[in-house]
Amino acid sequence: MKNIKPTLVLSCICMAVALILSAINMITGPIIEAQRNAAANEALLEVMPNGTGFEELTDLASLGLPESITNAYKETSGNGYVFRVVSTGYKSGMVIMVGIDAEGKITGTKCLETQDTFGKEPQIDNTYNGQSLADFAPNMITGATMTSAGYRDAVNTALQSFVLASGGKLDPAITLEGKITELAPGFTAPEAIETSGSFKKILKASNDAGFAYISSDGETAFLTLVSATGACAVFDAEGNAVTDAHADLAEEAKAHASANQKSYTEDLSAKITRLYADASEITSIETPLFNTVVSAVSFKSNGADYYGFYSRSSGYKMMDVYVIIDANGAIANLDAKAFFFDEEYFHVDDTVNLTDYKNGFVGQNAVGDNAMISGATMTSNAIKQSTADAFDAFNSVKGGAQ
Amino acid sequence: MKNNKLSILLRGIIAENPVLILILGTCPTLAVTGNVTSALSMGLAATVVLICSNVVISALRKVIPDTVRVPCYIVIIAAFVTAVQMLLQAFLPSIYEMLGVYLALIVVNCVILGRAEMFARKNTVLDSAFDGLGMGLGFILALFLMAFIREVFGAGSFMGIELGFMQMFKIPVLAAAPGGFLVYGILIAIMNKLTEKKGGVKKKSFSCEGCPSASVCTAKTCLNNEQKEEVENA
Repeated sequence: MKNIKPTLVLSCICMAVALILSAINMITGPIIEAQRNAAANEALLEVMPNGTGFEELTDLASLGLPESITNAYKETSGNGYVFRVVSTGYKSGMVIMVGIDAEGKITGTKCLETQDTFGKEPQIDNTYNGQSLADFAPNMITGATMTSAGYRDAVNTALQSFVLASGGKLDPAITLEGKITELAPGFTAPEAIETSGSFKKILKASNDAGFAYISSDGETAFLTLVSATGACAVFDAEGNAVTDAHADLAEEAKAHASANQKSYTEDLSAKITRLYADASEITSIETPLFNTVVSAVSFKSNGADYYGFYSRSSGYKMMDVYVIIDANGAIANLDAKAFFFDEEYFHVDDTVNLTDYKNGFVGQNAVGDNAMISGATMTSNAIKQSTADAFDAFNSVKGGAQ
Repeated sequence: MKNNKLSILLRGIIAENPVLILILGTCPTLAVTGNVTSALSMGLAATVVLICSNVVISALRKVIPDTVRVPCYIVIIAAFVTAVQMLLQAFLPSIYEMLGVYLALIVVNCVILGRAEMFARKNTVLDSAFDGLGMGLGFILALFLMAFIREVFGAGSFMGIELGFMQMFKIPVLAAAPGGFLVYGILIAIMNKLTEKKGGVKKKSFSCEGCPSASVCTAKTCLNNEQKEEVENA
């Protein structure tokens, strides 16, 4: 009995306290909640200054938004959307917020996180304001190309996501543009050039490996690829080859390409005559591939057949690689206009005997690992890519069209 | 009668200043006195809790059984602290952010539990309220004094406003943690020196009697425990 009173008193005090505190919580709870939301919305407001409230969209995948969109917010009064995009500049992990109003115009962009060290992101913040998918123009900062490109991609992704999030459908031409690197892996960093004829957009590979032509009427779109070695193919929105059905597109693209394509055959022929003094019957050949080979020839020397390939692949810098392959498919000669071993970070030129390195390829009939120079990975990878593409080109010529 | 109330009030401010004489509430004192604004906010928050808890504990002093009084006090103090916390978070979020975890730690601030134990449970509601107010003012005063010295001479600013002429002479260590101890020690020394001249403070509350556990503690068991430990350690 002695213990009952203390227990009762303590319990009563606890209950009274709980009641009072819950009453206070009923008053302060909503205010605190509103403040929390306001803090979370601060970043959103920065890219959409006239936003009033934001509601986060769940299930982004069902809207068809790309994976690089980590969060999407809808402005509650219908003023548009804010997207949080993760992009890759020089390094991955670049987080950019993009606000887009109801008309699809950018209201603000801001880089929240970056691993790039130049610190140029603030210079790009908000420079895209007012642009929409139709008049999107990349803002490239000199000296920070990779960062600018990462930023550009993020903004572009956000603009496309806006169309999807607001229930629209993307112009298939945009999807097709993303397919260029997949269908033509040798077309390094395609850049838009002046359009002509019936094409909506023309892109030129920066290594001169060919052109990509996009035609679209808003519903159906086609991608026509023309390589520097004469290959031509037309693809539909799903990436299926439809060349035969759309020969008109192929013809038009070919005509444009032949008028604008920079020829490397002369350069390759000159190189061959330097290497093989008796080279004769140097004839340009067509390869049906869209890789880094910009010129292919066949020639005769000392009574034997040879094939010469000029590949431009991007390593530390653009590499101009000559690969001569004999009739049996083995490398007879490999050279490049310049090896950039000395310019790469580790300056490995002292340890590399260039003659030995080049001779190391002779006799190979498949891609080997001898291309790899430790400390010059970028250049090595480019050379490896070039040899691989030369072998592919050789096989496609010898074994007929693939 | 009025005189009595006044003396209760004044006692807390100087003669029995909780921070500088009773050496209670040391943790928040050292932690939040880096700048004047947070020191004042902390002082005010603690004072509000102190007055309220003193009043409630004094009012319930005949209801609360001796055996469970400390849990009861803690629940009551915790309730007021939580209430202050919620109200600050809702209406003065910047101060809530600034005080951080030390706000919640008011629950275990010795000044508050100490006054409940030493004063409120033995005195009337009104006297307890005056005691709480006096102790609270003493706490604020001590905190303000420390924060003033640390911020002005350590950081060269006052309430966050930079004082141009102090920038040349500031002593950064004062604003850092060691400076807190340094200033605290010097202030206690000065306080001791000042009160010594007046014939010294009767440190009644500073002795064993001031300890919250005094009533359940017999010095004998303490000694025995100590001796036991000594034996065990040996």
